[in-house]
Amino acid sequence: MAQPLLEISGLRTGFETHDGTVPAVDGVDLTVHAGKTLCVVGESGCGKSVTARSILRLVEEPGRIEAGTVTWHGDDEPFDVLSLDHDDERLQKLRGGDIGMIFQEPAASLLPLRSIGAQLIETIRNHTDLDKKAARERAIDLLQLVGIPKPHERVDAYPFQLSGGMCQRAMIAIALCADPSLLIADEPTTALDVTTQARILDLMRNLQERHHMAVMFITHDLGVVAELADEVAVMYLGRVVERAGVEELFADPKHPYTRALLESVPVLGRDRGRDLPTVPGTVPNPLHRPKGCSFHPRCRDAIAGRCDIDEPPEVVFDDGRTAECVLYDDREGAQA
Amino acid sequence: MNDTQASEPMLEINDLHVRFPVRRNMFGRIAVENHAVSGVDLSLMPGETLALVGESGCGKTTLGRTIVGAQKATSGSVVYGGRDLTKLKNREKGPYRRQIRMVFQDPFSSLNPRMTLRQVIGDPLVATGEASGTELEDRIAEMMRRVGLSPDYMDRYPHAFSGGQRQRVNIARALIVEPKLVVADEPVSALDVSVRAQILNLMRRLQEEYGLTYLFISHDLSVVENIADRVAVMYFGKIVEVADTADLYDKPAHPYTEALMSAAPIPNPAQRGRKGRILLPDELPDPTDPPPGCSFASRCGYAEAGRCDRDPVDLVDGVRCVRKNELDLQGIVKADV
Amino acid sequence: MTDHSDAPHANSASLDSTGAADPEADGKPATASQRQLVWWSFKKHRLALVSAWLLIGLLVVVAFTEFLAPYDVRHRDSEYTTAPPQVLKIVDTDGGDGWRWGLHVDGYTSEQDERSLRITYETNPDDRVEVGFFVKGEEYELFGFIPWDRHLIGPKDPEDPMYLLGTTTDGKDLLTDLVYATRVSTSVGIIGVALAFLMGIVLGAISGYFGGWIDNGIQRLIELVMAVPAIPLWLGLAAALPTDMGPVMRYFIITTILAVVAWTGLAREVRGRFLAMRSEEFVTSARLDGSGHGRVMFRHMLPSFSSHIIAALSLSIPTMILAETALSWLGLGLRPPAVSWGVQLQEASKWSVLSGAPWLLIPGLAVVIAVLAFNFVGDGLRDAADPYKH
Repeated sequence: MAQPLLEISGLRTGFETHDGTVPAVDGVDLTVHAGKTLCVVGESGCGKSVTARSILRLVEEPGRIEAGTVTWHGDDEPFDVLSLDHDDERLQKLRGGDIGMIFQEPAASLLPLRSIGAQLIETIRNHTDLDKKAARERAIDLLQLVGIPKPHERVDAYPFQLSGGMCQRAMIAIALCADPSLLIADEPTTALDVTTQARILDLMRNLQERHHMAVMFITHDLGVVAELADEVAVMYLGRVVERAGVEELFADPKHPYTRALLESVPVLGRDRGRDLPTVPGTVPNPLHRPKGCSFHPRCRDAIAGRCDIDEPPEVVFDDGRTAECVLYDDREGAQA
Repeated sequence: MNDTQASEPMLEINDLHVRFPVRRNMFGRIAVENHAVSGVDLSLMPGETLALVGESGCGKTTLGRTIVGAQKATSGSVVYGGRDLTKLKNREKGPYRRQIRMVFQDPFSSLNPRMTLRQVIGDPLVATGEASGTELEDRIAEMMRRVGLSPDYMDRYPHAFSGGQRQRVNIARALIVEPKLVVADEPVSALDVSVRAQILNLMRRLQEEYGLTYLFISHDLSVVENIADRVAVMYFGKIVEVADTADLYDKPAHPYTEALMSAAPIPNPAQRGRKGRILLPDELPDPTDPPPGCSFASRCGYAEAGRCDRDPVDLVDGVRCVRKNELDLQGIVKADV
Repeated sequence: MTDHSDAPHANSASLDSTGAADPEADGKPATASQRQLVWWSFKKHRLALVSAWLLIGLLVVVAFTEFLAPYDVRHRDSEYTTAPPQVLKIVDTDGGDGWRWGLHVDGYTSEQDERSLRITYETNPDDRVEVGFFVKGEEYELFGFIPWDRHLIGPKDPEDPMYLLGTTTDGKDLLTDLVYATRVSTSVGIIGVALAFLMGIVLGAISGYFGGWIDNGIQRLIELVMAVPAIPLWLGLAAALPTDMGPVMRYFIITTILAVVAWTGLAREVRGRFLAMRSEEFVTSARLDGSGHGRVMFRHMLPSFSSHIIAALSLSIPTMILAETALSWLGLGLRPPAVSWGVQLQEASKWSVLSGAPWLLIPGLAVVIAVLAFNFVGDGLRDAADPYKH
């Protein structure tokens, strides 16, 4: 097994509203291994984006990280990101340095009135001691690397002059400025067309191989997970309900939610013209989380008197995968 | 439902063009135009689901909006029930607005936040003065039950509902006047993945109950494969290929269709990195100045310089490609799941 | 981020799994209405909340003017001109025979300056004027049709002087004038803004909704009105009014003049909103439902930003009040015997008068309070108007 690079443990992030605190992330444990891709998959409100933002402490008001640790193993000495001071050098070095981040809407994350090159050069100079000229050379190299044609011309282009796919490439270039050892990508292809998405995914795979970079990829699309992940964490209502290697997960989903998701999403060549199995109900509001297992009202295998009362145990299987579900509670090799 | 050959088309689109002014000159004349839809021919058979597939900006939404009358056509015709809908006068539109309805993509912006479900769903009946009082209430309640919403929620506001529930509201509002044709513009793409199947199944069920014809606009190939009887692929304002779903997915005849099929992610990690995946370059032609030949030529791996980018090409036997008889294209890679 | 993003936001769906017709679509939606959300948000704005109470007070004054004023507005006491304010006392310790309880004010003593012959008044602790609540006074008709003769506060003996805020140079009770002026000035503001809004909303809505040459025409008209400097325009229009016009007529005409100048800003704001909203899908679907243009504009579009309109409304009233005050102060707006804050302040514009009677500036304080209160409430409403933006 590869070395752990980032370890999230017991993370809780809540949002203050006038109806009370919404527990967006409610006790999440995740590990990103060096050089590997962890896909965090889930639907709206499951807390996947908030988890990603919590790592770099980018949660905006009224959100607040309430508990947990985020341990960074990338330096010689591991440290907890959440316990650093706001002006700690190590935090600045992580943000945009050791950890690059890209978001869903590339157009919204780029400054509209500054050229791509200027934004790249600024980030490069923040994290290296290159002079202006060298930084520009590096910017052009990076644009080339992420597959932007004619980088010498495009370096002076403004975001509105580029297509969505190009903007996302530019975002990736900015995230790669300081040779990060971890890239956090929050639904980077959701706003893009399929053909563009295929190219961006291809690019990310290549970059990862070449730079031996770890990737934490957040998505709701199981197809993308299958294309990219080494490990997968399935989130539902602020909790990780299942964790597994990508092949094991698709071959043998343990948690009823994962299973239901895999069945209900139409798959090319499989579901032509037929009624799809459905997951009943809708994703509940995190504020009114169902008691017991939060998935039990939608679960086909829910056991009355148990799932609706007790918090489900986290069951660890022999091969290291986990599922938060009572179904496996008494199994051999499982420890509750 | 699939017995389409025998009957007459219910809707025929002939050489439809829709252009948007981008810039005007100093005399108010249009100087630069965006060609959103440029020469679409398409027909819909009664009872079928025809999917319109394409990437953002290809003109599929504009085409849908033109059919329901939310967008003016620049030229061409949309013939329904013997009348050209693009030439209707305002006061003649009433009956056609009832027979052809639209379900919008965004379940959030398509519902007025200040109107209760009763007001939203009943709006078509109230606006035309067709029903009122208890009749109105009964029809709204019945419609809500049909789409799987409890009539108890009639006086709630949309913000209290999830995306899937709102999309049910949109469907109820479209169907309450008992239309013949429903244009659904990406009805599930804004929804949570675990809710999409519910809406797709609901649409299928309602189609049978009401004998509806669907024009289903989407960019999602797996959703389209699930619901459509026939598929029209749109690229750059033109239909590049139309075929029955099975034929199109298994044996595409246009290089763009092939590229789309090959780009779709497959939820099976064992098939990752499969061979022959086509990665299209990003460059798109300028929509204000379309190329004279095939608009896909600039990105097409099979394009022949001096031939594809120069000669205009028509939709022949459902395919718009000069090399269609020379190519052997790959269909979808079926997922082994 | 889009609305259906990952981060939770208040009042999105709240769902349990009971009570729906279709088990697939179940879920119980949250019940808070738009109005409640606005109210919750507004409540957090402390200053706005306090101001809202002040405005309610103002409206009470407008409604119960005759009852709240100690005297009739025509009441004039030539015996006490430019008398200083009295302090309301509840216990009398100066009388020598111990404490005498009971609401009262001190009476006045007058003194004539030998050289200027000017009479000055001072309050005299030895002269006790009994004051009571709900005392009998001059008769009036409440709301214009309920005859009554009680006043909230007044001297028990109608012959006694009770001038809590002092009197004017011609012996009128400043408090009475102020109460009546509050009615006039506030109502000029409200009616003027209502008229301006009617014009602004209708023209702005038409302009933004239809666009094209209609929009162009209305925008040019707005620019034309806006290009004319407001003050000379008011002055010109007001000066053109015949001087022998009755006070009621003059009141309405002045209000109309103010509204004609003020509608343009509102029209622009409404137009902007319509323009932005025109392409929203719910507007398209309203059209496709078969609604006519009028119904789409005023049933579907306008209500969706009614809170913004109310906010803009309450932000425009102060401008209107200030305009009326300025006009009247210049002697071009309302004129005596009508009283408004501007008319009252006119008297305070002479230094010679003001140096001897600083209490004549109290109406100015009323203007400041009213203007600030409307502004704060407007601000609070504007911030609260969009409960979903957070």
